[in-house]
Amino acid sequence: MKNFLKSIFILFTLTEFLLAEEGDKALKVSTDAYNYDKGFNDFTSSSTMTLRNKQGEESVRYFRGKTLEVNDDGDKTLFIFDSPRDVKGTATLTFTHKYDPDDTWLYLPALKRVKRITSDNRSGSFVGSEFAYEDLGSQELEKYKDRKYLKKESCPKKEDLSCHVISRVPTEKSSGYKYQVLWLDDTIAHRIWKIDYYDRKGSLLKTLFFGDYQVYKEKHWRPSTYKMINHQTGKSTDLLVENIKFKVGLSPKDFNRKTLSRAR
Amino acid sequence: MKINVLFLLILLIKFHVFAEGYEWEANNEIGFDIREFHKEEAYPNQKNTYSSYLKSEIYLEISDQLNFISEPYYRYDHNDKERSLFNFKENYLIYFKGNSEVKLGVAEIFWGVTESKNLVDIINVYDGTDGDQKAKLGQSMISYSTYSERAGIFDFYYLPFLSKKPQIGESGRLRLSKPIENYNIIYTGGAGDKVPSWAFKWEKNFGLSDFSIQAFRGNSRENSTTPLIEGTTLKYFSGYERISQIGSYMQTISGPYIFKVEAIGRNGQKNANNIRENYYSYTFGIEYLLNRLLEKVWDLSLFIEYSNDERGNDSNDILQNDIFMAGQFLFNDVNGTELLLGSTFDLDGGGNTSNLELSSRITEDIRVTGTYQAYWSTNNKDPLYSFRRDNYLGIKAIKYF
Repeated sequence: MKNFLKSIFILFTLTEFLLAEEGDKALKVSTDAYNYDKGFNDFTSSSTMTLRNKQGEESVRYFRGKTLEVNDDGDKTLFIFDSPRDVKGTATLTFTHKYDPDDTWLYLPALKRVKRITSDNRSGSFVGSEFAYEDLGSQELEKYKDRKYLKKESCPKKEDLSCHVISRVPTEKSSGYKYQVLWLDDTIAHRIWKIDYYDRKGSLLKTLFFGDYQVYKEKHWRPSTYKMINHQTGKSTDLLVENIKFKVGLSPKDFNRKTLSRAR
Repeated sequence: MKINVLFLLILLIKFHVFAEGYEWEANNEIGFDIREFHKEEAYPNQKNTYSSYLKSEIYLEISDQLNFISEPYYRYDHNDKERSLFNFKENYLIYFKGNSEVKLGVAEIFWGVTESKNLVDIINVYDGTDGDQKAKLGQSMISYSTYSERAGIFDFYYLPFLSKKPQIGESGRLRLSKPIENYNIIYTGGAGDKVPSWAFKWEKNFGLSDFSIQAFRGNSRENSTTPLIEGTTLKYFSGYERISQIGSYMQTISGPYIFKVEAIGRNGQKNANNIRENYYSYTFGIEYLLNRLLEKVWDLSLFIEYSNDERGNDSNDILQNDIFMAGQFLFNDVNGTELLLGSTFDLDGGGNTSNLELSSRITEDIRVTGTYQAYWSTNNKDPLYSFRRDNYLGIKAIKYF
């Protein structure tokens, strides 16, 4: 009996140890990926989003983005919308925080109003697309917890590379997801090739594929194409990111409520 | 008024020639607005509203730090000529360097956090004839703003002229028992259309809270109404007083909730009995976001606000002791469909209002909005009483080009 209990105890400790190790391994890959990309300073881009419904009807949206790296906290991001025409000129400013909820302001050009919005908006749809604001925001390490290393396999739609498959749980209650599964390659940059998003009930909601990676300033990898598929509605959104420019000299003075109201 | 359209066209053509070689952009919209009042008019000669407008927004980047922005607006009303209007909503040069900016010209400025009304918002005159309660006229100004992460935003305004509030004419609905005349304007306490006003605002953000204090000295932005006998007929005339105002707003976010408050103390404005007095007024409320409603991409924002004006029934503010409740439903579909339902309830029994608005894009560049507006349980001692027969069904179509 004593031996039996002993072996059970050992088994538990062993499992716990293995689980912890799996968590550590997953965290290490994520941390390495995050640290590798550090020092990008700032970048700007122009995006084209193609929204597609179940019947294949398309609708196109244009917007531009500016991102500023913040060393001791989350990044600052500005989005300016160019279409559809009735929302042209609308802009959002987000200060991502590692531990606290993000600060978000919305500029409404018709009223010339800068409106503070709750960070719970992050799980809402981005301009009617299959992307949520949280899918496009700055991906801080601290925004996720309970990482698990699931397996290693060849990368999705990129068979010549092998990928670490990792699951992670959003820390914020306002997130639209229970957990996510990521495929990161085993190169030094640990580029992401695919993310599965599981809804709050735990069923597969969306899959995001990343493609056409380009390297900037000989270090920072960014995909040019994203394809988000919603498995529950049959809708999809393609995102094409162009004119990516790193280190254009942005600074905190380009990211405040005043600059939001004159964003162009 | 046809001259104005011609003027606008010449301006646009001239601009195209001038702007060559610069980074520039012109966004235009044309709108058609129909309001069918299904109850018989309360006062003689009131008619339905059939109007259209043309608006341009011109942006010119003169240099990295100097931009020019112009927003000419022209509205034509088929029945009520007093409602036809030409106005530069904006027409200014803006220079910015580092954390400071200077504006010179005509601009629109928004202050505030609440939804039912914005007591602190005092730079521009509201266009009471537009139908959209938030529409404003451009205000000429010289302004200086400076921002620092530590101290917040400081704004200083010198406002040399007063834009007088447009008034609904005899043929229009949603007016008092008599139209307000646009001549013989009564200025009191040193007010005047060429008397300058001054304003100051400080705003600072403390984590999830925002706090602001403002001060204003100059011409009142809301007109008072004086009945006078001219010859043998009683007529209504508008007036402006020299006022001082101290305002403040605060808001704080907690999860899906935003708590908001706006308050002012104002000296020298005439009340409904045409007596100048000093008073306090405030609005507070909550905004609540229900995200991904019913596991769909739908968002619902709920609003509840309470407004109180110290002057009580002597106030010329319709929301002097009222509760406002509203829901905004965003379908997050390709067409950007929105449903808005709002009501105000006067706790003194003065009268209530309800508004239902459904809006959607029918093509990539046309948005159509259907509205039903109702005024109900109005008491004949309340300013809302004159709108008692003015329930309407409205259709508005805007084409962007």
